[in-house]
Amino acid sequence: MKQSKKLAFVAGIASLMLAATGCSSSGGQAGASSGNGDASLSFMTTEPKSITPQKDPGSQIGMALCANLMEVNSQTQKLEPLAAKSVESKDAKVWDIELQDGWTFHDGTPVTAKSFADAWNATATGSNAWQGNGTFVAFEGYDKMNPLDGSKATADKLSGVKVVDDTHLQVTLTAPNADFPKILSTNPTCPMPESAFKDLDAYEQAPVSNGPYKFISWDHNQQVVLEKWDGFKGGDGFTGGAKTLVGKIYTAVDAAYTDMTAGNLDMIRNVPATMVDKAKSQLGDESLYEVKTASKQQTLQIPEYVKELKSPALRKAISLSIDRDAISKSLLKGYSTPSDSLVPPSLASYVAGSCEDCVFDPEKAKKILADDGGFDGTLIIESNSASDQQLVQAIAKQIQDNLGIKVQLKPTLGTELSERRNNQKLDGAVFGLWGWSYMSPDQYLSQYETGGDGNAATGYSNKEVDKLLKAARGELDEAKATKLYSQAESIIMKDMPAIPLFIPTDFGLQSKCAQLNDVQGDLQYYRAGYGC
Amino acid sequence: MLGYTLRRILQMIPVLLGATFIIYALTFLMPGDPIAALTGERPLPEATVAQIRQAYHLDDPFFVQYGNYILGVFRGDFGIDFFGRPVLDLILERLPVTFALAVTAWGLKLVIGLVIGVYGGLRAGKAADHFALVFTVLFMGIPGFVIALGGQTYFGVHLGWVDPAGIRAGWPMAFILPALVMALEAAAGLARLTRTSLVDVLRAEYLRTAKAKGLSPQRIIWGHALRNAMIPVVTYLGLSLAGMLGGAVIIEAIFNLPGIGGLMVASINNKEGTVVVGIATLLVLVYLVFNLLVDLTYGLIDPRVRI
Repeated sequence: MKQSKKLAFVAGIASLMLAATGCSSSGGQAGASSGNGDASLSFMTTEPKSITPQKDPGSQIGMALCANLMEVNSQTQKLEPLAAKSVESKDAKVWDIELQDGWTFHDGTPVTAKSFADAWNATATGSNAWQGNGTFVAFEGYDKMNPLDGSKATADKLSGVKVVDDTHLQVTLTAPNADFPKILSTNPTCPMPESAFKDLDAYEQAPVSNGPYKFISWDHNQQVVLEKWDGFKGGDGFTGGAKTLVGKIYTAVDAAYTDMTAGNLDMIRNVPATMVDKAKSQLGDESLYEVKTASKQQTLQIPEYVKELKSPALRKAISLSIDRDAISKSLLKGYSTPSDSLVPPSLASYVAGSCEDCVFDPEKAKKILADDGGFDGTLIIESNSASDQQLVQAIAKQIQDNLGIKVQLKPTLGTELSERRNNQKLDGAVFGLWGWSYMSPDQYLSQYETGGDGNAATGYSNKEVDKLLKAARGELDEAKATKLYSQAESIIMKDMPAIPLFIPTDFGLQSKCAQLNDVQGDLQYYRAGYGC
Repeated sequence: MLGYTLRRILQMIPVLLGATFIIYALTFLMPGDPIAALTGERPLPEATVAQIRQAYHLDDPFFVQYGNYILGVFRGDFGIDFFGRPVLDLILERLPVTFALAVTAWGLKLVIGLVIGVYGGLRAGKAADHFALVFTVLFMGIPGFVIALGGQTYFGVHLGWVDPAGIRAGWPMAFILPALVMALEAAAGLARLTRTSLVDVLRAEYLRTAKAKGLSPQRIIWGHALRNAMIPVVTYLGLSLAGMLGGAVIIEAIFNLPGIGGLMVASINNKEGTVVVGIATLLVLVYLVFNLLVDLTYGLIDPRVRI
């Protein structure tokens, strides 16, 4: 008896050690639904800073709560009117919006043109300091509400927004922008009911909106519960299969993953690449959801104000010395594809190989550099110390070995890097990841437009590019616009203010009950189907 | 005694002021712009940034910012974070979790550490003492996160006895495993200290006297030896509880317990000065109070230091 107890103890310790080193023999149970036939799905979230879309445009909870004027249908993957009947314009500058009749908020009050105008004015008010503020930068009157020099605002309403009647809105932009309907699909343009403005702090804790799911409860640091709303009049392509959605709050994705292996969690998005193989072996292939539309890109941006790196030939030589295929296959385990353009291939304006020097050719690289007069300085590569350090190191080593120049890495904290980038204080090239808020080449290329969104990073400025981008944005004919965007890209590419690197593959994890779904590259939890 | 206590409490005020000043200055000096970091790679429009900076007085000189902060604290206003939530709310939401974890871990540690320590001390040099030594060295040697991850996978995932990452399970189920991990690690130190202290006391001359007077072994051990051996142990216990209340960042992260430690780390990364200083002030206060409590407890155990 004594002997067997001892053995059991030893076996216990041994299995504990095995578990600790990750060599689990049974491979963990497959995830199961936390519900029991009540069509409940749970998803991972961190404690939300805010669940209202105007304050946190990226909030998954905000997305489920709100029905935008325009939205991507998950079945057709196309942008369609949702809360709007139509969004039209003759010149891409003045837009007429007609709302659906008879739509209401979760509390039964009607959704009117005023519900949108009020919300937009509040969000565009600088002193509110809501994160969605920047969405309205293209609206007429935004500059009066948000003076660039930080002086007092001279208006409290967007002059470009006119409420025509209960179901009609007219929006005037500062310049023609054919992407306006896409802007209307982003979360900061959600409507707010009149009751919200009576007590914004209370609204923040229990928002009332017009989307497919309604708010039930928010236990801080524990969970947020949403329930499917019977009154939602949008089609199946705009909602999901779960009756109840539970946002379980985790402090770290590793804890969420462990909880999933124990069968307590249904969905995780933005799965780190290092977790993908582990999930494959522990949870099975079917637990992995690969996002259909690649929407992100990693680049090495080169600021124009760093004098040593000014020569386009040098930049091309650097690009040619990076073996993207090798890194993608080995280090990134194939969960990333080499990039050969300034925009991801999913965009219509993408032209394969528009970056001619995005291939691996060390001989040509050395020759170009020698012809250019060589480089005897040090190439500094800045990056966020919290992400992708191995990848940055691999890239640096490739450049150093294949081009024979000195490379020095400079990882800094995210807060510091953002400051250096936005205030143009970088010492060298900067490694970064970019993504779109809505699917348009403009979201990528305006970084290279004078004063465009994200232009501070490189400070790149080219009059011809500015002209082409402006024309592309104002072009209502999509085919023509696409051509203009491609043209602009090929001109930018000649100066190479950014070296395209990789298109990372996005993964989600799902339990047996959840069927994840993405809309134009954005995995949205509430769109998941229920399969149990 | 009362005068002493009052004096000690009054002494806390300058210590608190000094501590908040140093921490505020350090956060202020940290590189990076908190507003720039709000949205990651995609920068906010300049106008928005200017407005937010104004709303949070980020452009004021350091002393004005600190002055405003301290004045607010005296009114019970610890400021708000960049999303407009009061810092006090953020802290109060997380305090119960840290408190439950710390007290549970501390209680378990107390029991485990004292039992092993006293047992080993009374049988010094014998087999049981050696076994206790091996046990404590083992748990002192293995890094805490290894025990934590191992325990989580084994008891949480394989056996399914507890939720592996379940703050939603509440106390005690969500706290047993992480508290046990913390307790095992810390109990080793307590056991070593108790054993050494007890062995020292057992060799003391007054115990020989007690034995010569014919006191029963029970009286000698419980009434004289242990009581004296406990003095250094009480100091250690008091300060370690204060330390545990500071939050266990790694354990909290592994077991998904939203405590003070995690909030502190996240706020430092986001450079949210008001949150960092708020938590730090609270932790300094906890330390000061526990220090006082420890000093007052001495008097109960050892009449010689009674003031």
